[in-house]
Amino acid sequence: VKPEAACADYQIQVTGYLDGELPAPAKSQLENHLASCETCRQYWLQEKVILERLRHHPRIAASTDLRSGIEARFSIAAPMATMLRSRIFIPASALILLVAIGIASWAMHDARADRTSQFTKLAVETHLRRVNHQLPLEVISSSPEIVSNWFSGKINFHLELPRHPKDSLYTEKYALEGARLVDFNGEYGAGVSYRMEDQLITLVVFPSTAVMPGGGDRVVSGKLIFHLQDQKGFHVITWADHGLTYALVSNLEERGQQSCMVCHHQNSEPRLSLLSR
Amino acid sequence: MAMRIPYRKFVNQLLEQLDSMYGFAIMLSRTREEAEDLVQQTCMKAIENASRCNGQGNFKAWLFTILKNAWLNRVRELSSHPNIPFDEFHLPAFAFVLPQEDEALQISAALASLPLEQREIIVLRDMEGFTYDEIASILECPPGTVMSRLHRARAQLRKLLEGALR
Repeated sequence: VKPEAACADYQIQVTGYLDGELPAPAKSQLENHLASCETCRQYWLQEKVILERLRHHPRIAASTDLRSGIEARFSIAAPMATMLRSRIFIPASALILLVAIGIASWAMHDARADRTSQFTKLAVETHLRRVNHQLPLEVISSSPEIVSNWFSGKINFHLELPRHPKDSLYTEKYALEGARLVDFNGEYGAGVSYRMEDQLITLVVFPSTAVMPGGGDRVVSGKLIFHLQDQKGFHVITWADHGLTYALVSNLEERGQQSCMVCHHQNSEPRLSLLSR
Repeated sequence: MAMRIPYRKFVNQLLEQLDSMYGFAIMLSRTREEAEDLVQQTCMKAIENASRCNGQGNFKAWLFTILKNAWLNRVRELSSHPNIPFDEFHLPAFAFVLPQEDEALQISAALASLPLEQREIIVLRDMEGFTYDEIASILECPPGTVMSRLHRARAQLRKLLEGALR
């Protein structure tokens, strides 16, 4: 066995050694090797560092909504479970238990749909207040760089607005006006204002971990699914891409697809096909 | 269908594992919505199959097996979707959402960018502390392959975090 090959084998064993999963004979062989091989000893130290960091890595806790939803579900199911344990009325109580779980599941599904609906409502309200001059911008600039940089440190995600060459077809057709922070369930997201053909376009952006798009007609364009709906007389398009959820509100022609131009500037506009309502 | 352990005890044990289940679910799916759905499905399945749980053995490993199977079903569902390629649907959300300022966030981003096979094994061993036998059972793989898979996963993680760890 070549020394390098032996080291490669020993380095696999380092994993088991650090986890306390290596059988005694292999453990003793590895310890002897580590005492004489600097490369493998360095490897062992490096893996130990990674392992330490992983073991102390902060855990992501389940949300309060999820916990309380599941607790509520089980408190509904508890009396039925008691009946099951008593082995009385088994078929009936099993049916009731399944119905109770079904109702609770539906309630959880509803909570998620509610969040999506609130997000769409927030985007429409933001747009409406912008149209009525009731909501000032916090940064006023037609420069995507300036506006993108303004958000840095204010929101918990990276937002980079599309930049088009000056005097291009698209910069002639629409203009960035500025932006402001938007609050959704205590979390800040981005509200960006564009103007196109004298019409205002509002783009609201939040991490997909906070809300997912939904509602209305589903439209597939390339790898993305768009949700098209009308609210308060405005066209709203919502979608998720690269970990962010977007809502675009406008009063532009068709169903607002024209407003997609603020980001999608390819010569051939994506073809949209209606999937289902 | 009679439960062999008291219902309250069963529920308490389940709730005690909620954060762990959620952590595993978010590492598999990489989105909060998917992770919440997975945890809910796991709890539903657990209560439906509570009669098979006799309070012996590793309750947590049993829950993680249910969760993993729920995820595999979801993967199959997503893969068969005509309009959403599976690998496109599962974008590394953390990498885009979290600012890369401190070590913990860098580890989160590096973990999220690992392939599924490596992500899941690291979470199971290094964050949840399952034994190799339990991991083999949850992942339905031969016990002998756990160590080498874990070795590859940690090596990849170390490569991603090169220079980031002090």
